[in-house]
Amino acid sequence: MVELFYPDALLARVLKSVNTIAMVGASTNWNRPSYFVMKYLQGKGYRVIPVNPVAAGQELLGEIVRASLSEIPEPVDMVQVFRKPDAVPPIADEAIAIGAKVLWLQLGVRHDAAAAKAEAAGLTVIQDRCPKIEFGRLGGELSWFGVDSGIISAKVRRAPKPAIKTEADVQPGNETFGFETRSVHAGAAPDPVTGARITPIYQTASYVFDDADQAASLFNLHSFGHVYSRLSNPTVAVLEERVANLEGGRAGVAAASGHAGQFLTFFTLLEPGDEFIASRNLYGGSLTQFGLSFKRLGWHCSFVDPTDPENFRRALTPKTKAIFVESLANPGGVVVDLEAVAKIAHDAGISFIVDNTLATPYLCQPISWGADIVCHSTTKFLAGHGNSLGGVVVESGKFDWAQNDKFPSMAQPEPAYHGLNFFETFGDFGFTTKARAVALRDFGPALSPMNAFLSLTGIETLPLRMDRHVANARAVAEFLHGHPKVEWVSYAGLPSSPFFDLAKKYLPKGPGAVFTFGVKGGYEAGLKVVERVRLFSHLANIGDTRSLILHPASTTHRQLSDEQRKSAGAGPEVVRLSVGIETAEDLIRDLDQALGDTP
Amino acid sequence: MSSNKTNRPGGYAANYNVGGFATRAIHLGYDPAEEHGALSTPVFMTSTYCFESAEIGQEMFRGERDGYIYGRTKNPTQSVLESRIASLEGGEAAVAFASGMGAISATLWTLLKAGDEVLVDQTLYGNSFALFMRGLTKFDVKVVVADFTDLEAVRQALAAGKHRLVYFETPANPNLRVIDIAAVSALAHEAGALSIVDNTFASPALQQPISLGADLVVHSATKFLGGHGDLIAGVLVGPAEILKQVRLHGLRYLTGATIAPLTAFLLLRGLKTLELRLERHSSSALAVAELLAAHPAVAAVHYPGLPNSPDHDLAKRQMSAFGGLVSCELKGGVEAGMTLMNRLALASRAVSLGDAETLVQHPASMTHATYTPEERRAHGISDGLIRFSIGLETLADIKADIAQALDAVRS
Repeated sequence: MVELFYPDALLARVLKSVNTIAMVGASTNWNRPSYFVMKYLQGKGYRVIPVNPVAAGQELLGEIVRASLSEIPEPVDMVQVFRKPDAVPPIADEAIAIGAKVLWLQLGVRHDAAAAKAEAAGLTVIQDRCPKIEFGRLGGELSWFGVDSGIISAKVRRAPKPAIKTEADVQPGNETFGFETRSVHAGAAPDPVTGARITPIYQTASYVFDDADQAASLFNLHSFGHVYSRLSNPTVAVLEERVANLEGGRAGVAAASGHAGQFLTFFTLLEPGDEFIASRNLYGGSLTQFGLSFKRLGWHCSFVDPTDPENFRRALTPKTKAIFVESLANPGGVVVDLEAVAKIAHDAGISFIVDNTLATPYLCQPISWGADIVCHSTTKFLAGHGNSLGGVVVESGKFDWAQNDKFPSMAQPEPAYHGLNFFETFGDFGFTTKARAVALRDFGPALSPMNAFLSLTGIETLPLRMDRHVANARAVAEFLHGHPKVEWVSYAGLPSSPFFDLAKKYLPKGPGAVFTFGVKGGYEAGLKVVERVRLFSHLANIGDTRSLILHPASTTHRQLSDEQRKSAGAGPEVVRLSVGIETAEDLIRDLDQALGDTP
Repeated sequence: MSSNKTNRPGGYAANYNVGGFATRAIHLGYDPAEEHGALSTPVFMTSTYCFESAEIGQEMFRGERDGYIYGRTKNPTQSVLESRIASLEGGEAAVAFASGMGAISATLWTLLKAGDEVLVDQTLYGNSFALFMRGLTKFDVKVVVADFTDLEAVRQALAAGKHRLVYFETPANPNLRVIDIAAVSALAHEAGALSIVDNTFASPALQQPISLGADLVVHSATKFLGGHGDLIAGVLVGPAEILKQVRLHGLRYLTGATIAPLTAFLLLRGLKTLELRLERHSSSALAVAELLAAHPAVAAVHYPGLPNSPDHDLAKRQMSAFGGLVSCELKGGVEAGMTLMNRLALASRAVSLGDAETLVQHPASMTHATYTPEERRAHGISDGLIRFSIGLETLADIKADIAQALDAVRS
């Protein structure tokens, strides 16, 4: 089937040109999307006439329900269809007959033949879209949910209301922008009240409701808006949209740390007793979270060697719901064959999750290789200055949660929201909406507005910093590679690395700036290097502007046995570097003097 | 936090004075060992400081002992910032302020008294110009204006009076004239005057006036030093003895223009990427200048990086690249300028400069509205001049936005 594409200018023109909408399939059940979409559109100034033979003659949201389109006494601008696809042809015929200008088929409803017939009769046809979502997206409301609006513009966002017709109201959007531009602008717009160019820090816990009815509709997720900063916050939302945009995803949800983001992800995916498969080359904290803490929640993780994708297939069971890998693994410089693993996951009807923290979207785009969900610890290169913790989860919007019965949390009624079905209601941003509305709401790892703000200014220079990080890492790796006191260097940018070719494919701009090397002389020699450096900071973090160094065997991996340390890539001689953006010669000189008289 | 540090073996990179520009911009002046090992400089949100004993307090007030007394003059987060900027500018010491105007006014109030004479360049930021022409003159300071691109004019003006200081910007706001820092400073010194340079447009990443002979450097740190458009701040750099006077007089009781600790923290964050940002601002601005120069709607482009700019050779001598500001004049004058500004979609219509976002403004109606029309004409600021601050967006996007707006002007 051909992918549907509607330029933003077209959608905006449609939404601005219509006043009276006939809604076929309008429901009298307050928790069905057709009901609350009707209510939302009424709130935005549209006249909406409900059409539903079952409820004909009843009053619904102040309007009399009609049995059919032909029974509506006044002219109708747009016919909106909330019915199954096979019911569309006769409705389309009727829409033509009553002289409607627009035929709009709801999200999930598509009938190409009926659409072609209506278009031939002069109607504008929109299929498989929700007018509430499009109105909210164009007007900026949807950004409150961390959804990538796709709009990059220095102009204040205005809702495409019928009444507004000024030149400044020209809808931007649908242009393609470069990565640097999106790093600066995505998700942000000048403040509509004050004109402030920089995203304000909304240090507020709560938001005032217009009235009790609006409050109820927000609590029920019937309209878009902020209720309480544990769920959403305007500053945090800009960060969510920016990361979603840079990853080429549909929407994002932020959390107080990378770990918290992973918790939101798995809580939304898994039921007790479910399983997932993870690469065994992961950040140590993730190994512990998945292997020990999740076990107590009834989630089982099996770890496999990621260098052979078939290992993931072999570990599949009927209860497996996801595969999790790091695109560029910490710390061993392991690059995973994302495309191959994505195929294994999709063949099994399960989701593929990629932690893209070390690579960042500037170096690697996991969604383009088939990832369904991308996780980040924004603490690292994204925020980039070692000054704020944070995490973001991005969904691609391409995974069909209803393709099998593996994901009841997404595609079945949710008891915590009166039976709302998240995939049906929110479609391609259903996953992050569910993670926000349930996991973030009930477990509470919300990102602070101040941290979101600092992360945003960090991302503004992400492309510049990553270019320098990679150039410096390459220079340092090459220096170490030729050093007589160095046993080996594990950097995927060196031709000697077994991951050199995979890195060229998945990380075309360079394989990051975190890698390990082995010092001749084992434990004592490794320890000496970290004790002697002056410019590198000895600590357990990565992705700072400053260069960082760590001896895993004496710190992060101290509790493990020799055998476990070796398999985790943390042997006695291993030293890990996170190369910063200082002057490269200074870094090389520092390592040289530190290695100097190492035996 | 910033004084008496030893670089202990195997410890942290505190006071890393010897490294390259980027290394010092990231490390200098902060020792994590003194702050729980925290790698990121803490924000000291405190107004006052406790004395270990009454005697120590007394010694500090007498100036016999160094230390923190009260947040109006000094704060530990601010001290890290000051030592870092002093190093990047190649100066002995620095003082940070609540704004660039705070830095300039505190400096002038400290150095000048009634009856003094000063010599300033004809092209200054509108509010600097207002401070000299309408502020200082009220207090009986005589302000003489000259065209500093004409060294003979500077020499004659200096010979005609007894000037306490000369003051200029280079590149100058908004028409990007370049002034010979070494030559003007030498003339000032011959005449017994201090040479003060506003280095806001270049930043120390591109130009270090003290190494060329200037005595004092001032900054609006709001611009490239901060780099993200999220703060207001100023800095003064120069000899420790003068700086001490400015802190104890100009800052402490003449202006009270104290920088907030959080602002100092944000500035420290900005400095870490200063070199990277200025490289990108400069290369993108050069490309935009070339685009403007080739467009039929444009009458003139002012950018010292263009080889045919009259300032190009001088700029090459004293700058390592040419900065992120470009200005131009359109054939259609003011009206065309307004159309251009309204048609831009990616660039924001806003004053200020040096942000990640591309900004555009019209000096005659905005930043230089403090000049009278006659002064503007006399000082080479035409009413049709448009000033761009080129941001860090993808160059192709910046160029596409400006090109479509220029095309609209022409049609």
